[in-house]
Amino acid sequence: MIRRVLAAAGVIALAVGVASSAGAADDAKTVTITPSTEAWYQPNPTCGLPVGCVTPASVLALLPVPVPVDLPAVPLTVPLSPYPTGTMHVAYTGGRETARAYLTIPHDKLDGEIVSASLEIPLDTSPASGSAVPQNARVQVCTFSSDIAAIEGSIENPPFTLCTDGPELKYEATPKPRLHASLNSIRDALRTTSGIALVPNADAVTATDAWHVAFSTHDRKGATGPAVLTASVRPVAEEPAAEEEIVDELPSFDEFDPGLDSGLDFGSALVPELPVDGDDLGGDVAAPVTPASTTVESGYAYGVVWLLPLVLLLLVPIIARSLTKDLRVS
Amino acid sequence: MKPTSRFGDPATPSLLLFAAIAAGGFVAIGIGWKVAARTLVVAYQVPAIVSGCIGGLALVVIGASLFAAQLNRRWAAREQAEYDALLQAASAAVVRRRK
Repeated sequence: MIRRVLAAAGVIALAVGVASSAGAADDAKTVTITPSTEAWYQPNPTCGLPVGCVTPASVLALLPVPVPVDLPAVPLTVPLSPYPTGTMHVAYTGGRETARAYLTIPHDKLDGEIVSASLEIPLDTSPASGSAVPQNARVQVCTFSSDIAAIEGSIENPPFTLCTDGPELKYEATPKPRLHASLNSIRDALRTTSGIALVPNADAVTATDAWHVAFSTHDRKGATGPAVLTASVRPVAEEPAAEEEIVDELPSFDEFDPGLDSGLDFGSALVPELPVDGDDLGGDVAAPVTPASTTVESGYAYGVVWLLPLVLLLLVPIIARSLTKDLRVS
Repeated sequence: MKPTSRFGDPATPSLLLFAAIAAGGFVAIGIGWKVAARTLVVAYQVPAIVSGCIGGLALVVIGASLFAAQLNRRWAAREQAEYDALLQAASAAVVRRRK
């Protein structure tokens, strides 16, 4: 009898669990999100100079006179994109990264528990847009937690990225060239970070790789569509409000006696005296630190070419003998 | 003196050598093209173009020039041999006449 009761209770519990999970799955809704802001960064081309990297901010700091405050606001980041406006780029060439893209993901549609997520990026394969062998691209999805401005080809330092568990995008040619990846490994980070960054996969690229992928921003007209993030979001159940009885049990603020008259001396407030003018700073403002240029040693791709002079040296007498040989046939 | 050659024609080995030099030039052009197309960095493309493409073009020109020169020498040698044979036949006919 007891066994029958326990068996029946187990079946009922299993049925309730299945029903609840089914009901929970039905609560998840699929949302599609396009980035609200896109930006792509490239290495500073002046970093190879003997003076080091030159940025607009460092140039302004070297001016003998300060910039008048009534001048119109000049953006400190000068865009240097040689590609069409409205295109984002991720590229790797000659053993180093030459472009990376940042996409800010709006969180208004991610209000809930993200069950699954995927990213699809339609590619602009036109050579005029900079695309080169996108099928060889090794692009990794990372996350970042900074605010970015919509800029193309910025040479400023890009925001820091976190690439742990970041999936790699896979190239698919049909029906249209695109990059696709499942973001389940970083779905929790999609709600807590500013967005995703597309960078060359440092663990997969080799020194001889050379590829360049280009895709459109969300506001580019008449071209391939922008990157689309598809997520299955399950709304989180609201927690019940705390009971008022608990609040009433806390003592009121008026009843709290901090004992200020007990004679304890907390000392004067630790407020530093700020200087009134710039002379108190004790000298000129230090110039921005510029990273030293790095040198990459690259060997010879075809070392056997060094034997060519010897081969030519042997060929010269052979050719001379051939050109002076009697060619009459008996 | 009758020049002997494994190929029958004494010009054949040198013609093959010069053709191989021209073919090597085309191969060098192809290698330079492949290396230049593999990268987007101009600093890496320039050596490939100079060594492979321009060097290969030089080999093609040199090989083709030597091949043409050797071919002309071969035709001239055959013509000379025909003239020599004709002169020998004429000389033999004169000797027989005198006898």
